[in-house]
Amino acid sequence: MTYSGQPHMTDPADAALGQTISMVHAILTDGLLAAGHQLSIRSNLFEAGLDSMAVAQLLLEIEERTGVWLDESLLTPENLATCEALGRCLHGVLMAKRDRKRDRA
Amino acid sequence: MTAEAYDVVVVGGGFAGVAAAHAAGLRDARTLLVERERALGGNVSNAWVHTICGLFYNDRPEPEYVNRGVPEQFARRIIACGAGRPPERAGRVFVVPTYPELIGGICGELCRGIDGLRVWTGARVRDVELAQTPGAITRMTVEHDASTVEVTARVAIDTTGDGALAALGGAELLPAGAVPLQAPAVIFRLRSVDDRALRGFSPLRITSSIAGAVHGGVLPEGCDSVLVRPGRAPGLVYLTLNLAPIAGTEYRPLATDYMTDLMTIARERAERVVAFLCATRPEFARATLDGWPERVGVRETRRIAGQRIISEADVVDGVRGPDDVALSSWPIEVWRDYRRARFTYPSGVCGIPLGALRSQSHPELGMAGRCVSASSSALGALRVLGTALAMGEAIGTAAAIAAAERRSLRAVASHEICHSIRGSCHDVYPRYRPTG
Repeated sequence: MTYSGQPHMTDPADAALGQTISMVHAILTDGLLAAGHQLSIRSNLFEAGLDSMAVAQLLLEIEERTGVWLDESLLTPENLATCEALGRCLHGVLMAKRDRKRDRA
Repeated sequence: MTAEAYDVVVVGGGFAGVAAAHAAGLRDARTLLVERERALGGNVSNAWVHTICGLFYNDRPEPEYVNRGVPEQFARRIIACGAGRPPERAGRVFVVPTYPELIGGICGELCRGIDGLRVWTGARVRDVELAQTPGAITRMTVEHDASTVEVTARVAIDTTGDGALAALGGAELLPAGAVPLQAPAVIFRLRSVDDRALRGFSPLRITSSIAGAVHGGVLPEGCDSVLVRPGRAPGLVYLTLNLAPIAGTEYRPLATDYMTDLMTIARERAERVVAFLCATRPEFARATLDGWPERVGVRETRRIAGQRIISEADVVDGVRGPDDVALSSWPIEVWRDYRRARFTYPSGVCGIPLGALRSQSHPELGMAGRCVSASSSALGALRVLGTALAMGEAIGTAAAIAAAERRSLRAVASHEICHSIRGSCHDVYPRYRPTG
């Protein structure tokens, strides 16, 4: 999946973040949002048609792909503003989960 | 048994049927509309579907009607009398939100102002002999008002949504596809909800919290796809609960016993969702389940084989042709899984050819609405209310032309229909009889 506006990332951590943003973008452009291929990672998601139904389906897709269910408290206007913002939020949750797992080990 | 003769008989009083009967009656055809429920309006009045989709172009900055006849006039009437709200943007599409409790009356109003149009509600077609040859008469037995009436018609129009008249008369139906039928939904009403539930981000978070509760095991499977929309007065909201098939069964929307069981399960799930909202969200602390529909909102059942079959590619590519009599603008919205709608946006509006509204096997049988001749995927776009109105108007107009000139429905040309509809666009509402 390619998209416009993807930052150039060489650091592994940045690359992981880029992949997460890319995944969010792919989910939303694959039939969830009206804007389809016109959606960049920095497009305003509400202007592109993000509504209750799309968010519910987005959460399901994220859970299926990553095993993480995004808590309602994270669904703030800021985090849902763009694919990039949501990807960063999800990336933070994934990293925290990884760190917890590492600590337990 | 009494006998009554009509030019046009329309069976099914949802949006497609009301538009078809109105269009035929407006053109002076002696018309009968037969509806099995007490209220006209189909899935709106009986299943509380409360968003009219497919009325507007998607690629315009402002809402611009895609079909200028009955669909535009009907939507304007709904808005003007407070049975709905002005067009709202939902992503890249526009919709007209309505208050379904009020729509049956508006449908009745659309029919009452026309001489020569009779409406029988609470009526059932028990038997039908569809005309087998061009120009032949269709005969049906209708139970209405505690009597049985032998009805004849030059043209019959099936707007039952299920192809019920066609199936009863042995007309050719489209074969069931390999993919599952689209999932149904139940829509119910709550009262005493704080209006904050509908402001800004709240509907989205409510939907997410319910899905999260199912994910966390607080609510059972099957409760996870819920949408919240405003009702017609402060404190009233509609909740849409998308429904999974009954566990371990195949979804059978044409089986009455199955749908009765599904409705029972839907009610149990709805009560669990309401209890969860009351317990967890301050906006719902005083909320009660205030209204329950007559039936589940069905998205797909059975379609009639027409002279043409509209395909998914036709819709996606926005195919237009010389035989078009209506336009479809809604994206393909498919609910194969009750939790997920898949949207495919077309490159432009798609034409609905006259052949998709005329039976392949029976020359004097027309159809409109959900039983239009289309593939299952294409139906994901065509089934919406605005498009149903346009299809109904087109085939009702065709039937009136056929009846007036003693021609077969097969002999009516698309340009005659388009010409007639354009000529009547501004003549719909003057014929209404105001009901106060």
